[in-house]
Amino acid sequence: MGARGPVDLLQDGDLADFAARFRDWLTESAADVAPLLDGHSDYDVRVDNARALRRLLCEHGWGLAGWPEEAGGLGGSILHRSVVTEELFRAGWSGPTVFEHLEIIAPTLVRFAAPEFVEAVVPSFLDGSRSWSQGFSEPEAGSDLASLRTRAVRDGDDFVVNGAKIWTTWSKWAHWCLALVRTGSAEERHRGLTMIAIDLSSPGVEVRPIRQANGTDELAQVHFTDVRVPAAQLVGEVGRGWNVALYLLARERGTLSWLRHCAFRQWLTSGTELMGADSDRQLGSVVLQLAGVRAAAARLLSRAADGTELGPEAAFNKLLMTRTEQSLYDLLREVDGMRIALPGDSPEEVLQQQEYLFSRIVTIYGGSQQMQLITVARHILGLHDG
Amino acid sequence: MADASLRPAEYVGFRDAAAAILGRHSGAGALDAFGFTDVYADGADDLRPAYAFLEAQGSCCVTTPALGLLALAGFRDERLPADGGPPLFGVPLGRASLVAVPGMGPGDRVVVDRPGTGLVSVEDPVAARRTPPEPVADDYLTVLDLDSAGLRPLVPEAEAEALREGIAVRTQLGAAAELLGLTDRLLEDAAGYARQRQQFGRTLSSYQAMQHLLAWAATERHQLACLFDIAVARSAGEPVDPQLARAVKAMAGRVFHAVAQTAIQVTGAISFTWEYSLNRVHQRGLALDQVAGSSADLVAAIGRQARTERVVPELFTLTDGAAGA
Ligand SMILES: Cc1cc2nc3c(=O)[nH]c(=O)nc-3n(C[C@H](O)[C@H](O)[C@H](O)COP(=O)(O)OP(=O)(O)OC[C@H]3O[C@@H](n4cnc5c(N)ncnc54)[C@H](O)[C@@H]3O)c2cc1C
Repeated sequence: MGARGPVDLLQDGDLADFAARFRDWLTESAADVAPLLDGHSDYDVRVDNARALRRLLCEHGWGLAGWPEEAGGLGGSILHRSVVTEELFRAGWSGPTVFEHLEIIAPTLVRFAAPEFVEAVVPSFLDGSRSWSQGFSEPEAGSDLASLRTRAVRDGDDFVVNGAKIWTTWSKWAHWCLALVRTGSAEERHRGLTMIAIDLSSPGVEVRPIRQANGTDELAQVHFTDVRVPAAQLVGEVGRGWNVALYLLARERGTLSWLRHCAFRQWLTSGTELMGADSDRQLGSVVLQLAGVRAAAARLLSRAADGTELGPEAAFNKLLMTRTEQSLYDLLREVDGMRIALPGDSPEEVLQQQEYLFSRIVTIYGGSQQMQLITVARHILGLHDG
Repeated sequence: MADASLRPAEYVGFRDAAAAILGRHSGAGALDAFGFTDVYADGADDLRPAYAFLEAQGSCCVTTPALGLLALAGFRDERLPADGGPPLFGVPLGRASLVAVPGMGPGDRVVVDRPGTGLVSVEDPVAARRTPPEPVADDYLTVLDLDSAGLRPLVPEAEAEALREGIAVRTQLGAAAELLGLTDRLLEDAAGYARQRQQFGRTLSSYQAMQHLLAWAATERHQLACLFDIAVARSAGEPVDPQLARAVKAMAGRVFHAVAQTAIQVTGAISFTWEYSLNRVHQRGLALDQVAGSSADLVAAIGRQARTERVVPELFTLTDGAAGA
């Protein structure tokens, strides 16, 4: 059977049928797809491959499945996207690099931005020609995000933005930054914040990549000096940026864990070849942790697919996901620490060291482990300070 | 639980109905009030209410023979004498000669699995009881020593083989259901204690150190509930994958131990007393972890299989409806 085109992608059959047809397409298109799935220690190559893969997936409709029509998609739900993600990983994908933000930022744009803006920017995000970064943190505003200072002042049809963001992942490659800015007073804390999309090619924007501990430069500082941003690029209402941020963070902490755990499975599977019988208990323990991440992610996906607002329970996913990533890399280090500490000249070993070092910091991004624990304690267990 | 809304509503309905009954009854009376035997009567293949009952039994820490009955669900054998109620399953323990019978009463009949021989009935279960020298904090599980017991063949090895997988899956999921209930009980009691106990003029729950301990415990419990619910949902439709049931049981034991430790730490010295409710709950969970494969053994087996087969099991897929699609 020839792979079907985008139009009938979602029209008949259930999710299993959709997955089967996507697998068929992957097999038929192996010559085009396979070269784009490989990992590479050169991050620029990985980003180029990720863009090309997005383009290919969208050309054949698969990259549009699960996205609403108003955003250029074919309809369906996050479950369709998650199936595509898992099948790609099963086929040996090394991951989406900068398009990891697709699952975090695009749903937020669809939900909160003006329809014309969604129509203007989301399709080019889906097809890989444009990518986005997320500008929340600042040098003085880490865990205490509500203290951020980057200011946006209304001036006619525009806002004028001044300030600096830091740790803005993938800004080096990004065309847009979804920025959380202060439109109210400092005393208003989270009530004085607004979300706005900033075109990174605007005059007054400067992106300075940061060389990370693992040698890559995924993170960056982004400086804004009198940057004019059309008010049409507001994402949500003025003063309601905190709600938009919470919506986005529930994706980064929660639904993203489906994608991440697919990558964990791949690393763990390839790591088994290094292991002996003395690792069985520790390996079993990580396999079990992975099952927990998967089960919790599946639950959240089903809620998101139903249109349920995701709340503080996404903190569970973040805690489970990051603990598993660290346990997994602890295990890989314990079975063959040399590969990680003193990698040879093979790209796989360099990549492994990069990933190991990255795994050490995952309990910080997206709200630190301590912040997630506080969220669970206060908002789920009802434990209060004072 | 604060997050009850995250779990399948129908299942939670069964569980809460069971909890209401277990607040008033125990033993056979509770089973009758719930209609437990109807759950697995001929033709009934949806065992969700049975697992829900067992979870409630764990959270109420009440004793009934439900787990032993569930293991043999659908088992009818004319070789068993017609008089007497349905037999209870003696669940394997780590040592070959020992089995544990959940909620065994004086007249109960017991069936055990002897690999190589088949299913056999224990002639005089009361006589085969292993009696500890000191009183126990919880007598839910009766340990039988089969070395000294008379055993009567029931189902020969060739036929028993076909029953084994189902028995193992139901026992593992049933024990996991109880462990989940016990875990909930420990977590709720510990959080409740922290909310009211004051030290340094503040409630314990106001200290971040206590909040973090309890939040980790809630996170552990959340992953268990998610995985367990997927397995139970599958049980309504088709046979549950034994690898999934094994993972659920292994996780249930590990999560239980972690949450018990948290509960003890949060509750302080009072938790180390014989009478304090935590003690019985803790000891019941300790014992349940040992049945149908301890978490320690199962985790090692899971690792061994992943290593030798070079496959990290997915256990379920989104496309089989695990996400409620
Ligand atoms: C790999 C990576 C990618 C990132 N990507 C982005 C991005 O794309 N966009 C973006 O906006 N930001 C990004 N961040 C930034 C991230 O959100 C912040 O690093 C994070 O919120 C923590 O802030 P901080 O690093 O300033 O640490 P701090 O807030 O200074 O915290 C340091 C330590 O103190 C603890 N701590 C702080 N306050 C408390 C408290 N009240 N109680 C107990 N403990 C406390 C924290 O848990 C942490 O362990 C990224 C970070 C990393 C590491």
